[in-house]
Amino acid sequence: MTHPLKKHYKTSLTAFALLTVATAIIALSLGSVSIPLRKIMEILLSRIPLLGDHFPSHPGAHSTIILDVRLPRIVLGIIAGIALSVSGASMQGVFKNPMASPFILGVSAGGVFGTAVGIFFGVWWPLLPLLAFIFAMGTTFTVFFLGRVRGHTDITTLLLAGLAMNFFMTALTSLILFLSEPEDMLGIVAWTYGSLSGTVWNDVWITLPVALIGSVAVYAYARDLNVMQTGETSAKQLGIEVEKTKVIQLIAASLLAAVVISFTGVIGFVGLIIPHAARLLVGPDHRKLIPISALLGGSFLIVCDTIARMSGEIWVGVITGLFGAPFFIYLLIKHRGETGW
Amino acid sequence: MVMLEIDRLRAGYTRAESVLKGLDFSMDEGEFIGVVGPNGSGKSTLLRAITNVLKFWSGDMRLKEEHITTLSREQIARSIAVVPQDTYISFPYSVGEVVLMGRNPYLSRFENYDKKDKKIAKRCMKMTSTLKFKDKRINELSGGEIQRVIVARALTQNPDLLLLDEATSHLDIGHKKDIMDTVKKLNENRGLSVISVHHNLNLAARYCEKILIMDDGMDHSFGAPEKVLTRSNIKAVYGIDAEIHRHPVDGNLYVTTLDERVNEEMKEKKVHVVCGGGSSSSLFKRLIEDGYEVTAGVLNVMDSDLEKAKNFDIRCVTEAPFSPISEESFEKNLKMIKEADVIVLTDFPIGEGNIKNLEAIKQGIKDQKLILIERKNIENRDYTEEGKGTKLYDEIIEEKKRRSDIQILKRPEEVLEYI
Amino acid sequence: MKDRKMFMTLGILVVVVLISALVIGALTGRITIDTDGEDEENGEIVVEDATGKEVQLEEPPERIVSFMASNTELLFHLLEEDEQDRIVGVDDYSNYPAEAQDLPSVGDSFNVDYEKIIELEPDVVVINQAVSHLRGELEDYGEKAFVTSGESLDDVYSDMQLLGNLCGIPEKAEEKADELEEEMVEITNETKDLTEEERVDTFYISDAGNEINTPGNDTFQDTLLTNAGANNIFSDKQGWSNVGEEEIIDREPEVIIAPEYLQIEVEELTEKDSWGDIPAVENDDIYYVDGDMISRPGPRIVDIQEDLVNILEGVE
Repeated sequence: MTHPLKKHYKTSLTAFALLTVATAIIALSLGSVSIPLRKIMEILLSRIPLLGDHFPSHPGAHSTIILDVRLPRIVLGIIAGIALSVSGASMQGVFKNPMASPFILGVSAGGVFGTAVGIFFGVWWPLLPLLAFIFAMGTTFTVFFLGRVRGHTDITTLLLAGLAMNFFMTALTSLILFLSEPEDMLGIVAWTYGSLSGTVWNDVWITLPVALIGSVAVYAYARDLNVMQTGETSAKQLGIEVEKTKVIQLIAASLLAAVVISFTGVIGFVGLIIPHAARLLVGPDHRKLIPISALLGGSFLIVCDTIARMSGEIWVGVITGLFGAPFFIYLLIKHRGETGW
Repeated sequence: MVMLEIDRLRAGYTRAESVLKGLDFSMDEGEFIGVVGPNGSGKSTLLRAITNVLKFWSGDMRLKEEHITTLSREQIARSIAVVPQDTYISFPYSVGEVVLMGRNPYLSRFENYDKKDKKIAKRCMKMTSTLKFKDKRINELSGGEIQRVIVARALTQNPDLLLLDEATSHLDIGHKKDIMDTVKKLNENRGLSVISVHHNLNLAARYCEKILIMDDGMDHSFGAPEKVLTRSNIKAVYGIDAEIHRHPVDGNLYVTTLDERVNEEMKEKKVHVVCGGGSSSSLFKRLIEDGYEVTAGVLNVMDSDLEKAKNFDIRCVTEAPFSPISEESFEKNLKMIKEADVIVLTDFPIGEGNIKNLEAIKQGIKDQKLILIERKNIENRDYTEEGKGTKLYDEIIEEKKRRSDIQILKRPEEVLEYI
Repeated sequence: MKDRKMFMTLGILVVVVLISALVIGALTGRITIDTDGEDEENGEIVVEDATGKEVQLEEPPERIVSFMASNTELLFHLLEEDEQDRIVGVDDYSNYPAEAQDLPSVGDSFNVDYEKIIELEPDVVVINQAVSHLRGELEDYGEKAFVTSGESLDDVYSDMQLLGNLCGIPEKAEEKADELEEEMVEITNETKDLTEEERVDTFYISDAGNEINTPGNDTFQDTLLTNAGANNIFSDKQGWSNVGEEEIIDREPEVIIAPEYLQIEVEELTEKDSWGDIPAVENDDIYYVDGDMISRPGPRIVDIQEDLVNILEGVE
């Protein structure tokens, strides 16, 4: 049946939200140190102002582990999952192409390069995310201005410019890899596969507002994105500010991707796969697609990160790839020849 | 009230080249105007300029007395709706969702389509007979159905002015008529102003009360079809010779082009093909290539076999579109039959409208060779009352069998062997 | 076009805001949830570590997590047997002494198991310069880090002192450090000050895989070798560098030394035809040493130093 959840949007939304919370709690209970679930719940609940006074807070190692090691990591996982999925949905809408990902405008290539430069020159490590972010957005803006033709954003040119910059930044990164010491190389390569290990609350406070603003921006122009699917001229004739919508969507989507990968490294497949899965469930209407993608993305990433964590800190990008690629191939085979799925 | 007024409009896509070079045009509320002209005359550019999607460089344009540059996209979209030639949609939206998009100009940023919008959409879908597709995915529909959906979407914008940009060019005759009839009805019953761009003069002549002929980015002539569609105008703008006819029944104008080339070389044999509805397949091509002198008739204007014949400069007897064979055409056809050496009768559907083709053969055939193409039996393509067609057909065959110069073939390719 | 200007200003504004956010966030240090309510700055003891940072503790640490193998060996060396239970956790590479292997593992420098560390509730986590970046992360999680040097031979004595200070046994540490130093002097008495002609041209292989890696003049291994009477054929290099076959053959080492775990790789190399004329290969002067001992600036330097002296004496 096509788009089975289309008519049950509100229920699905609630269900997926609950799913995300449930996944988070399960993830909280897993780790190299085993802590009983009840204790976890008490620790969490004791942090709520006022109400929390009724619960024992179990000060000590376990509390630190839950609140300072696992919780920030899980929260960042949710934020990253949301940001990457919304970004992917936006890109796919703007490019009218289900193969688009958050990284096609060079965000990941730029970010990797920024990190490589930072590691190579021994930059003070708290500044590495900043460097990654600057190069990520820098590359995107370059692509963006390459793609502007007479005050109009040309989608095809944008795509090609993105491709070109991707190649260029990757080549530069390869050069740095070649000149690097083995330990540095490992750090750079690890970054291209992403990891949520070592997440601290500070990372969350920085990514949260950006992810929020970006997602709201994308969602605010969801209806416009729908209308643009029937052609830019048609959309203009239906009253849509096409150029403005494109710019807002592309900048928001790039910001979402850039801020996440600055802290986590490049986590692939989430931005590509999740919007697809969401589209299969609720259809192509972006007003439904975007929230559902967000929730699916959040829970998906928590699951992948928990697996990564429990398997000796495998880079989470490897896990998303191992899940993502076969799923993608399955989708391809099932929907060959259809438009847009 | 004046709906649209355009003064000395200049516009184009690159500064170096003006497509519209100072066009003047005006239309009143409730008019149905056709815009025709050769390729490159600027018809589509004009429509883009009217919706302000293409910004014009100089001149002025007023929509209901307001300068178009002072209007926002949304304001324009509430007044003007466009149906383009074709629409490609990249994702599987449902028909209902696509039609609802037409309500977009009435919504503010965080608003959503409400009950009223959905009601309007339903009504417009009913008008274009697309309501039954409401929940189907748009990419599952045929071209003609999709166009009707787009028309429905345009109507939900509740426009004062509807622009059709060669909206029926890619459709078959039945769908062309459907859509144009629907729009005509809206024009007549609800006073919807329409500007319709056509590359087909006859379609324009049939539906539009006034026609604007564009030539090289300028308005060449403008007025009622009789005034504007003249031999001299068509020669001046298109560079071809044409014949203007008036349909005997409904008085509509229709244009046919002459290809009166006197054949210097004496051809071997004259072959007259009686066909229609595409049944001529590759016959014309093969016959011409083998050097025969080919004629055909009677074919209605807009019939695909007529288009084919014209490609090869074949002289045809033509009849007005959607019309039964008149006496005049019948006589012409008969004459051609009598002058031919070989008659080829293809397997087109026989109806009351073209049964006279069979009668012409019956009357005109004597010593000419007769070749029949029968991919489909006559019984299966006889739409006349009481099997008149079949009777006539069989009579022709009986006659010829006695004279034994008749061939019944299953495939048109075999014609060349039997001529 | 006014559109363009608007987009540009919008874009620039957004980027400026975000960069500021990141910079501020990065520079104001980490924010953690104060979970234990413990007062971190209330220390009685102040000990300076190798980076000059002052680590404050209430009392000498009862629970120590040692994060580098050399530190583990030093700690076990310093502490009396009945005090050795002050070491509560070690990294995966801490395999000596045998007691260390029984202790809970907290991962390795690529894969730090913070949860485990936190669970062990250490008073301090001892790391060294090579992984100094872990200090920041440990502090984020509310743990104290103490950094030793762990690079050169002389660091062994200074690190010993630092750790002794940390553990509240500074005099003992001084004693033991002096002991060690005296032993070393004895062992290398005859070989330390040899002339260049008297020295043995030595090639030490620190890694053999895709590339052959060897220590240069500022490394721990180089010091040991030179003290033992070797002439490191690659002492013109700095740090650990990859060297090519041609160079090795050209410099004609008389002896080749490598860690045990590289035996197979080294044999593969020395069996090559191109290596056949190297004096060390011709005379079969290829020796293997304990890989751990030769790479850890710890208490076992005396053992490895002695091995090297013996090896080199036996050559020629």
